[in-house]
Amino acid sequence: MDALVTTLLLGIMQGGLYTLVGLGVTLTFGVTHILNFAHGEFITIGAYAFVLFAGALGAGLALPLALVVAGGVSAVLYVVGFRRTIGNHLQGLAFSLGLLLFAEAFFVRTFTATPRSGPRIEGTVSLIGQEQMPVGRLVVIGVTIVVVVVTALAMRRTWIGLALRACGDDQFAASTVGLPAKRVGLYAFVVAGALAAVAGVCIALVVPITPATGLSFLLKGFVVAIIGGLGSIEGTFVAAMMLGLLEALGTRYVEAGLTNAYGFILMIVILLVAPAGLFNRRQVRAG
Amino acid sequence: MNVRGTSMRSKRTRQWGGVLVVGVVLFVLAAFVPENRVLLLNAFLAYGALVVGLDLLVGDLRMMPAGHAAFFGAGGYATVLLYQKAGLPLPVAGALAVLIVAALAALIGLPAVGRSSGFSFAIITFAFGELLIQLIANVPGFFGGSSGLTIDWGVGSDMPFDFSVYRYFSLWLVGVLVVVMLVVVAVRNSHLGLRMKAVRADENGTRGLGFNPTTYKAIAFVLASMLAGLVGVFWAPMNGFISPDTLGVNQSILLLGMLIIGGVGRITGALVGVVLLVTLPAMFDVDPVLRTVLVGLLLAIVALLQPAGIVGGLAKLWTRLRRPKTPPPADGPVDAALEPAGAGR
Amino acid sequence: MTQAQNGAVVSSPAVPVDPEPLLDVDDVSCVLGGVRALSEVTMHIAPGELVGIIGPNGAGKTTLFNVVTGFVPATTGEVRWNGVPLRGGKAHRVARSGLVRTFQNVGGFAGLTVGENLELATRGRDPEAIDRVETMLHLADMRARPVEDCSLATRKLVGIAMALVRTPRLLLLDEPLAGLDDTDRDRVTSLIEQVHDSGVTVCMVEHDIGRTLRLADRMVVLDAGRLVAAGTPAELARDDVLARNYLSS
Repeated sequence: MDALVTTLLLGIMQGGLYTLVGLGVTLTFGVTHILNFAHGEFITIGAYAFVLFAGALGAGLALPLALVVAGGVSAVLYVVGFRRTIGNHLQGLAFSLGLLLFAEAFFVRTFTATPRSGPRIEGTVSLIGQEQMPVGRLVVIGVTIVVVVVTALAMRRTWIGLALRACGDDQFAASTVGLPAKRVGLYAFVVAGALAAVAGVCIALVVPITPATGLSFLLKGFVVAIIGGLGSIEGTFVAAMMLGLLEALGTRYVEAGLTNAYGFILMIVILLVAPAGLFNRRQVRAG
Repeated sequence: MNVRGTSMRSKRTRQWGGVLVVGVVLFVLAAFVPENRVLLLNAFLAYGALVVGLDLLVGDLRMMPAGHAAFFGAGGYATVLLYQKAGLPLPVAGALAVLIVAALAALIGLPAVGRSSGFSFAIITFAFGELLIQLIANVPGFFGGSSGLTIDWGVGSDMPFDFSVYRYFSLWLVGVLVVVMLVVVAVRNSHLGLRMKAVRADENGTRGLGFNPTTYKAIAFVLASMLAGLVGVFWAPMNGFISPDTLGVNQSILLLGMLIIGGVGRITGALVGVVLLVTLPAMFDVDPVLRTVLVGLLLAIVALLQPAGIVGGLAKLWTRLRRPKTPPPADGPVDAALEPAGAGR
Repeated sequence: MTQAQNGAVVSSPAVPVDPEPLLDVDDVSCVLGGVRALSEVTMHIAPGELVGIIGPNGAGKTTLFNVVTGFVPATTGEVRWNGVPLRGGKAHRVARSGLVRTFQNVGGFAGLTVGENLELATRGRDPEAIDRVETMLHLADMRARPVEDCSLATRKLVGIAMALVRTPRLLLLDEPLAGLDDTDRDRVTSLIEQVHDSGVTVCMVEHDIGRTLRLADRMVVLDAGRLVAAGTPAELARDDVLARNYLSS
């Protein structure tokens, strides 16, 4: 029983991180129909920027700087590259694969493959019974919940959120009211980059990071975006929580070595049962 | 077939002849190249076979797998395991390994190839590669873990003709590359190839003709994966060692990079890509990580600026120079799988 | 005489001409993305007929073709092909059973030559059919040309040729005249007549009402997803409301 609470909290933490990554994937896909394999690198950029800036300027300044760096890189890549590939998904895919290969090897060359630790939040909190939970993890849960809620609200209440939803829904209609998909795509990439950076910062708070950190989370981001139905925000959130809890419970009670297999199996099963994902309204456009 | 013109027939003859010439040249090279260059040649042969086979998906069907190397690795692992642990003779182990790869590809491919946009396909193939790595790393007792598996040939092992292990398998790898090229040429010149071209141009249109596009994508996926597995079957014993690094997503993207940078849709493009990104860096001792950085950068740039790749771009230039009066021909999808699908919907 | 939806008077609307129709569309509705693209459409096509389907844009003409050929499932109702229900039938299976269609804007696959397209359509099994159709449509000297280098009229012909080499039992033509000039329209019209005379049952969706009226044995008028009227061209022309609303182009 005690272990269950810890396991569930861990699952929620993972689910929150997957939501942040999956939201970026699904947002950029919804607006531009680009599947960005380099999206995971924004996590790595955010994480390394946070760790490096925190060492020099302190964690308080490092957090916004990490967001700005990742969002900025995302914006530049969109303007220079992704924007030109809209409408030709294989070209966009190839471009992003090239970036992924480049970025990972570049990080290995620059920072080496040795894991690096960022600032740690000390202390643990006792839960029911003997179980202890590090404060850092609770902070991460809090941060992800806040960011997800704020993002969800922003998608409903703000102009950019409206633009993103409108373009994700019907690009032609959006363009007739002055929302060209290519412009809105820029917003999508900036938001996605920043969300990935938040995930990167959170990851750096609880585990050491390596140049491969982003890639391992990218796979999960893809899985939840696909399961949730590419383009659906609610779907991504539900799928991410499902995956996080499934992994945590599976690792604790079934077989720890198979942690990464659960999501994959879940994805295959859901794709076989509901080929468009769980929450996809536009069946024809589905992945 | 009386339907096709004579130009088609001469193109076909040229393709078969080309494969034959390349095969003979490589065979002679494999037999006589200095011992310290044999490994370099083997890398060219193996990568060449992988990339030419991969083109069946990318060039002919506009499918982009992000896990092609996984099937190469699966072929290699299956061979080594069947040989070392099950004690099967190498040829039997190899044949079984190819069948295992085919089964894996069918299992992975069926939920993935159906959707037309190819996003699920990219993601599922990507996930499959990562899953295999997890499996190998987490069951070290059987799969050797992240440090890999070795085949110990022993010192002065008795290969025919007093060849070294490397040179002996070099000859086999020439055979593999020739087989892969023959399969690709045969498919492209068959009615199957015609159907694949039609699927690439317009999936719904092929349904209207009574063809199920999913069938052809599945066939191509299983076939290309088997060819990749076949390369693994010969590579692992040659190398004497196989590790999870060989089947990760980076390796898969490297393969795509060689193909796209060289030029999709033609064998020369694939081979030029391999020479440029494998053979030359190895000859000039470029650090592998630096090489990966460069390949990634080059792939991104080529995908953006010249989706037809180097050979495709040169071919376009050549037609333009040869016929300066006539306007340049519309870019046929054969030249550029990454360019938008032909007219239609 | 029955009263149709919008009050127009129609004679012998949906009564099958032949006791054993080739194609039965029975009370078919189709909802696409929340829009009712077809509602309760009933029609039949008898062997040997040439049926013209007309109606304004968005009337559901192409949707009807899509449902009949299995590209889109009917939401309710039933399509019977040769007496066998087609509901949920896969498009490629339907296509193999002799129910052959052309597409609104596609004539042959880009990247393939005219000859390769025809070879593709026969599934590589019937070179004689290719020769026959190439002669009939005067496509023989186009054989080696990539379709994307052909004129629109030629591409339309290639599309029809690809349907013909498969010896269809029912040929569905989706706007065969769209985008053509008058000369080419006459050419394609007489070709359709020729095909029909050779014994093929034809059903065509077309905006060129004049030529369709001249060609067709029987007309079907769709509007906003509903079957508004059906009958011979002469019967439709006798009805003033119909003639004014749908037959004047």
